[in-house]
Amino acid sequence: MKNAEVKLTVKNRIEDLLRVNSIFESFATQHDIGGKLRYHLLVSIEEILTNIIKYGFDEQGVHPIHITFRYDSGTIEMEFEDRGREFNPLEVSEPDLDTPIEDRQLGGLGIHLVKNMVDVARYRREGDRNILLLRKAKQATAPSA
Amino acid sequence: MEFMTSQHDGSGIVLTFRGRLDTVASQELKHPIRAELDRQPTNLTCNFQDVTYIGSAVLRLIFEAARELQRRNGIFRVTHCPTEIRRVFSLTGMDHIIEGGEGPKFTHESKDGTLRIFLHGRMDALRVGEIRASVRELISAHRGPIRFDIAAVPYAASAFVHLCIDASKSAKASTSNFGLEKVVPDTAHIFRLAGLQSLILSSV
Repeated sequence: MKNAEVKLTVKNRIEDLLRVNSIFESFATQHDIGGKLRYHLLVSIEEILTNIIKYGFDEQGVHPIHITFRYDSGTIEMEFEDRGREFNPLEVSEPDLDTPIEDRQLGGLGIHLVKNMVDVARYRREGDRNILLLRKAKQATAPSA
Repeated sequence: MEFMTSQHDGSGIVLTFRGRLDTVASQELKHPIRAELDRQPTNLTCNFQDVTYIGSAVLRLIFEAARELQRRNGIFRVTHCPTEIRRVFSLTGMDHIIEGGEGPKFTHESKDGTLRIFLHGRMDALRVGEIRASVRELISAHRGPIRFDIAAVPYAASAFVHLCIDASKSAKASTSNFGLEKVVPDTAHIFRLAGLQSLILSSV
């Protein structure tokens, strides 16, 4: 049976990434999401989650991160919700890709990858919650003439 | 059988699995595994050497087989488990059924002045965190060209890109160079997005 929506909650621990990957792999298989698209969505999940885990919480301790995978009419949505400090990852400065490698500053690369791999990335703050929505069409739409 | 072959040796059975063991594979594996268990083996070995992925449905089949062997006081073993698959077992707390130590996360050779590091498995943030210190130690001690052979890396995210930037900086510091060899197309795409296509020396 196909699950149109899968919800899970993980902790702010990098090792929980494996569980998220495993659940997404199962979700992707159900909806015949493979190849490059599956790869890009896995990278997007990893980059968003590691970002939240590394930078999202001021205080130490265990914090839940709620994740939803949704499939509807050929569109995949992934939503990440946490109660960390207010932070819009989409406003992180773009890495300077023209800088020679030896002078490259780290930072911003993961979010840059995400922005280039999904169709829509939207952040909102609701009360004390950060909510990030990523959306990607299963089939790439033809560019308009 | 696409996903499994079996060998019988007296009262023991060896099941050799291969490929991507996802939900589809679980449907195909359910009855053949049941048939093997119905032979009442005293020991059952599952060889995972050629398994690239294992999903929850197949894990469940394996755990049920393990429980059944335990109930009958039989011996259940998992052997030749790739690191990635071992990690999935670890997450479920069942890694104790895996025989043998964890395989190397990478190997390396130094030949004709070039340090070549052969990386294996998914290069996600977790894996890169595990290997970062030892890879850095290797490359910082080397004077000369550095290559990452990533033919056996099916996935890479920004943590791995950062490791490559580190390696490149280290090579440049010793007036040498760094490059990636045998890059799969999807990973090559990640490096292009990162503006680092110049690091790719060869593809598969």
